[in-house]
Amino acid sequence: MSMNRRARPNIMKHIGLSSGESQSMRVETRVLEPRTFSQSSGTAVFGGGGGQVSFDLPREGLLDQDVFLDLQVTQPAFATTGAAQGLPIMVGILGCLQTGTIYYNNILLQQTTELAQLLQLKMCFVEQDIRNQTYQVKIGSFSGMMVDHDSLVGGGVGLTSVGKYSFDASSRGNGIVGLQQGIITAIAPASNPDHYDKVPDYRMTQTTSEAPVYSIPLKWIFPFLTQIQLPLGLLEGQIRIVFDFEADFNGNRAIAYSFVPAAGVAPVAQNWVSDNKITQANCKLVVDLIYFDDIDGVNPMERLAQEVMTGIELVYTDYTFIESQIPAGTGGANPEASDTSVLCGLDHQVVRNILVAIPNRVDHTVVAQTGPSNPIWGNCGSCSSQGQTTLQIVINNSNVYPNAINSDAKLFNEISQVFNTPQKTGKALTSWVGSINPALASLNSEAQQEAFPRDKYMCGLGPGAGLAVFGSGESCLQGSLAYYGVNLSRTHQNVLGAGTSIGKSPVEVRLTLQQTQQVSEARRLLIWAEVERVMVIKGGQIIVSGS
Amino acid sequence: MSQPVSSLRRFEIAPMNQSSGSSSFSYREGSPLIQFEIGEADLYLMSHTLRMNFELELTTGAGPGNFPNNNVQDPGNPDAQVLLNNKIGVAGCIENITISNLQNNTLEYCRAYPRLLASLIPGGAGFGDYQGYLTQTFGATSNRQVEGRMCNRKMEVSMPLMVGMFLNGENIPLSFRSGTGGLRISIMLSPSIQALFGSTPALTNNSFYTLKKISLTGQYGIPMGGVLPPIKSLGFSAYQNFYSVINTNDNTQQISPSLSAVVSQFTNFVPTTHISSYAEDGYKTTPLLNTTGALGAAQDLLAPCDGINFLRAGSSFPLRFKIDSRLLVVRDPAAPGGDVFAGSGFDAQRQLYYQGALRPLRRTTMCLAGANSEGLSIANGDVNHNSTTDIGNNGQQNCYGIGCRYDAMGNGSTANFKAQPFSMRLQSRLNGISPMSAYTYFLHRGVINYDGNGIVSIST
Repeated sequence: MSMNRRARPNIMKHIGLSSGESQSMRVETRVLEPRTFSQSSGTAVFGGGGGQVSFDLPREGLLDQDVFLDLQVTQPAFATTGAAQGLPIMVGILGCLQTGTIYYNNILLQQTTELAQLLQLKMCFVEQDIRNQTYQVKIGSFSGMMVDHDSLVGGGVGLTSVGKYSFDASSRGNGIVGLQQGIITAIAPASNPDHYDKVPDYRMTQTTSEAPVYSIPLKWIFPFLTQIQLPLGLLEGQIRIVFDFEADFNGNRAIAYSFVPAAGVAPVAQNWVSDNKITQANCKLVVDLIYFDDIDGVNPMERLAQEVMTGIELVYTDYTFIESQIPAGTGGANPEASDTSVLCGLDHQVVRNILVAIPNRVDHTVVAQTGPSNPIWGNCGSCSSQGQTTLQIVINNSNVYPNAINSDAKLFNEISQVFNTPQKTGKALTSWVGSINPALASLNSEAQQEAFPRDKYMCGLGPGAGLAVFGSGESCLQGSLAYYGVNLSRTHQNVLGAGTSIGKSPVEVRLTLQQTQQVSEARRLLIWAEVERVMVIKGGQIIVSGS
Repeated sequence: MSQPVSSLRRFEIAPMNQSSGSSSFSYREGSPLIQFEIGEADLYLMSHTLRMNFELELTTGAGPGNFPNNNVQDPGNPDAQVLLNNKIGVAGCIENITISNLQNNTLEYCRAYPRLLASLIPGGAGFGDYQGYLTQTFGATSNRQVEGRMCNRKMEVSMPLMVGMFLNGENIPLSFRSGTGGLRISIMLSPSIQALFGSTPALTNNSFYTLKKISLTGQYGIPMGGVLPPIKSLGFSAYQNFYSVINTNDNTQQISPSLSAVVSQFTNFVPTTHISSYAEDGYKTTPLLNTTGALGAAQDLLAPCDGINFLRAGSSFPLRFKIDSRLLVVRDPAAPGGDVFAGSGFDAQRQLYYQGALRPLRRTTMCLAGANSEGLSIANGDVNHNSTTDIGNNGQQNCYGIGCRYDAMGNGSTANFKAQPFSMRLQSRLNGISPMSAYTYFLHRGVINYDGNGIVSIST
């Protein structure tokens, strides 16, 4: 999910390699066991705490960007609750990760917070075809859409689904591998074309021998790895990678699926249950290390060692995280503007971009299927306003935009510039535009114009009476991936000073939403700022700026 | 080519010809011309960030306040009342774009812009793109039913201008002394009857579109040192369009483009009777099609192309051979509906060169053309992704065209057509009573030359 298409890092460019030396390079893969692993046990209502895993990297070779974290989640209560629980549909196994940190001895090199949220955001910049064909295997993620063509009247509102989007699950063999149409849960199979489900191989299971193990590329988590190669063998200290797990709450590691009692019947809601365990035995770090063989008794690493003794300067980026909140609306008939202004600090830093997500704030004591921020995405996502959203960024006491960005299309365009590629999610997933009833001042949606059908279910999620926007089939997907972002780089190359220098005045993010009758929940306001750091490797030690 | 910049500055520009009484633009309900001016300054225009933002609403022939209701969303209503072409979306409302500087020197006059995009976009985007970002940039979905739903209510887009000038995303200097001398972008809107179509005459006829809340956004790049470096010349790209009609089964198009540096050329087709018709989608890129000639008969019978020659000054160039598809043409006199050539094979060689003309093949990582769009015998009738040719009332959903690339290596080389006419010989099974409109586009390079006082000449 490195969207900036930067060149692969190559520390050896500091010394230059002959073609013969290049051919002496070899890559070795190591599978590392955790140095520490902890995971709190779950309770009936609140679930377990987070827990943590740490790995010490070997002190040899060069660290390549191909580093993977293997993770597996099981649900021991499977036999009693049925297959009615599983990973959140889009974020998949990434929903287990809260924070990732790299240390050199006790020096923090890079830390990325709210990983699951950030990685789901970044996933939206990957081509749907790539997600459809690889992400279900890599991380258990399903997010591709197809066109619904069901002309049957459903949803309790006398409407067809023609021209709406549904998950790309088909019984015709042309949908996403791993999804199927018509069968829900192992204990109550039922044939119904209005239901989509994961095939058994992609479901959470009771035992470690049955459940899939996913492999997460760490370059998604640490931009660091795509920007520099650490000469592990030339460092005197220890590089340690630490992951903090998300707490086992409803919507984080798992969400409650449903089963269908009979064909043509709406799914029956299941409550979420705790004890979704990360398997210690299968939690491993897979590391690629680069070595060079001697040529005529000389090894390029020796030349690199000399260079390191005198000092190598490397540029990389880190994510600074700020969280605030947006209060709930009253849910009245008239939309209310909700202005939020957040001071992000960041003084004297060089900022390359700012990313924003606004998922609904959730009450973790609620175990109902509609408890998470979004019934299908779980607690990840970003909930769009039904009315006009505006965004302004103030840097060094000046507005970045001459006028605040005032339309969902412009917001899409701005975040697309952060990654130098368009956001690969459709209008329907990021906006309510085109689905609002023009005759209503309340900005309520117009059922026939919603982009997702109310009578189609993914893993039986979001069952409801078919009338409410949230908790009703796939309609809860509308506007559920409305991420915002601002590019502050003059180039997408990883060079010093590519970003915008911040002075003494704090960076300010001003966001205005319309809280409406249908969409008025309180939101979390998650802000990530990608800031530049400089690392100096000298005399076998690492010194970093700004952290 | 792109010059380094020290920092960026955002801009948002409103149309300079916006009336104080109304901010709407429309061929019927307002001004059909939208003009933006980007001022002359010691700045770069970061052309890859340039976007035209607007809202678009369609209104049925029943008059203002009446939105379409496509897709039988209310029982009893027909499925296609007012639609935009599903491969280019809102870009169908733009007839042509003129890029000039503030001294009125024209740099590019991009005619038949929608038909240019009808080739360019599907040539580089698959269903995943049409489901994703193309709904945001063009309101395009590649599926007639989704397009129908989107056309029912307000659409909101942030659209790049895919003219040659901005195609490479280069940083364009804006000063008089070392740049273009500002830019004036004039956008002429299409007649409603050309942009819109449907199958419900009572509502489709006299339907119209309205653009609102229009602005041009982007970024300026501030040059190192705050002053643009002096230059002697500035290269730019542009599209040149030529229109013609072919009707015979052995037709040679002769064009004198007077262009000295042509990168590629391609042609797309549509039945002439489909142009400016509320009953037909005039932006389709169909294969050559015959009609039986009977009164009211549709022009939807395949007339396969079995020989293509590209020539310069009478000699085959750049291909030294004919694209020969005779062996693929199969005639079945007993075919239902008189579609006697429907069983012909797919001329993949033509499609390959055409795709190469749209963008270098190594950069073509995605495209819409496939068995379903081209109506091949192996099509699986999938209605859940991009619209399938001849399934239901979709008609021809092809991504068809003819062309070739002179810059075959993709390294910037060009061919000179300054004093040497371009010709294309097209042998087909057209029956002589089925006129097909041919839109030919040349992508070419031009140069702005400077002396110490600014622009001296612009040559193409």
